[in-house]
Amino acid sequence: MPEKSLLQEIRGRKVLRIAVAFSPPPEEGHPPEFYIDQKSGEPSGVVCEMGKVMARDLGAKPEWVDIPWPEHMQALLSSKVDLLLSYTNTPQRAFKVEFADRLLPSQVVIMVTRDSAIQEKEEVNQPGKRIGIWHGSSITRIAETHFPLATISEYADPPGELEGGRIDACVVDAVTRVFMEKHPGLRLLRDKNGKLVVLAREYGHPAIRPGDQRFLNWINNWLQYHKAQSTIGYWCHTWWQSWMAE
Amino acid sequence: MQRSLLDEIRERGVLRIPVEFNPPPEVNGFPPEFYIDPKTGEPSGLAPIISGIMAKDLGVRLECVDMPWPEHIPTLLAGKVDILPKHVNTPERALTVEFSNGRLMAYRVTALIPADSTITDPKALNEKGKVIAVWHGSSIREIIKREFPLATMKEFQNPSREVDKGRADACLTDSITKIFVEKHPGLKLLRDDVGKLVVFSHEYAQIAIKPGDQRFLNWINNWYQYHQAQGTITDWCETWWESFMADKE
Repeated sequence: MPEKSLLQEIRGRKVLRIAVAFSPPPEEGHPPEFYIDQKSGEPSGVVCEMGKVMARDLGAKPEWVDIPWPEHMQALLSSKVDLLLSYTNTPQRAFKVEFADRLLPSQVVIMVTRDSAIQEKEEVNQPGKRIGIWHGSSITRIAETHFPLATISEYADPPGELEGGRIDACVVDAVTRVFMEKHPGLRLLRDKNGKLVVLAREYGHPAIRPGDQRFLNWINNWLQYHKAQSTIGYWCHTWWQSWMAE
Repeated sequence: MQRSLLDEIRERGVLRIPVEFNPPPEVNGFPPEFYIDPKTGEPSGLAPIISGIMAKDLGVRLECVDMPWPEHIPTLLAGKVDILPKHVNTPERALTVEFSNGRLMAYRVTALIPADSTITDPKALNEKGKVIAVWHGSSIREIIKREFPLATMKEFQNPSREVDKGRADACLTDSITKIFVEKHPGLKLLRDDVGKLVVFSHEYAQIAIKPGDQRFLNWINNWYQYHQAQGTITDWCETWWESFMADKE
């Protein structure tokens, strides 16, 4: 028999512990990943909604473990949570965790100030140009690949740094329409034809601690089922995209 | 490293699958899942055909073990058969078995109602006293609990007959064939007020094995990818299977 899987442990304790980093609601411009719904007072966002579905299918209740984003992987590896529901898959992260199949798509784009002289991507890749990215983000590697000559730094609020004139550009994902409306001094970089410049397309995947193939297989079967049922199509595409500016 | 069933199957020279033989599709409109071909006397239907291709690739012969549908999963877990070739992947079943990645045939869960019924809204079936019939052991039971919590669900070996005989108000089912519809003029598929088929769920059959044998699961996933590239999966699970179906959207 295989070693005991976390799958059995979760079923036994009837609680599924999911890492979240609650942000203000999307009405304030944050991407709708995890937030407290203002009307119901309940956790919502794509991670919470899909987490509720997974917990129900496991016969468990979801427990939201609120942890700053850069600490999510460590919380998983130290067993404080059972999974990261939507964590961007990169080869480097996959040395430490194991990813199930795709869940949530995202596009990595460049943000500059509305009055910036930058019109093309190549203008960002210059010595002395300062680029901001979210702390703990998988985007670091993408920024380094595209802009090897620039200086790249992590911030808790890269758009805030941009508005404050302390950096020249941000490399970000999941930019919402509400955010852009609330920050009229910022714009997303577009090419001469007005097409959005996309540096990379990435996917958030459920991630677990390595070595538990039974749990990983169950999650993959769960993803396949909910793709067929359109649960994922609704929350991770229709609903998620309805917020996005890109 | 734990010994894989993959090696055992190759050594014994036999791939064992559970089947529940029905009459061939021409007789009463059964979906072509498993039946004895009247011309050849050999097992046919999608499960034996797909499993036969797998057996050939394993270099073994196929053995079809006939048993009632509800016994298929327990028989797999008891090690008396090697794979389930046509079970629908559901999160609940995946707690007991492990599904390979590739989709085989699509199942659309629809409702059969009496031909003279005027119902166009499924809400009319979610009432106390209404009886919804379902195949015994079917994954559709969960959909009935979700969609019709006020109605009474009853399991039968032939649930559409219960509607035909007036003993049930509807039958939630899948894989309704054109031949079935022709042979049962007293039944019809539930459609909305503009004639669109009401589909309660989209599901897929995926090959399942006993949990804990990653080597075998990986081989089945590789096998599926190969036959997807070859067009074998599309030929059988889409073109051939769908050619029988009446429940197209």
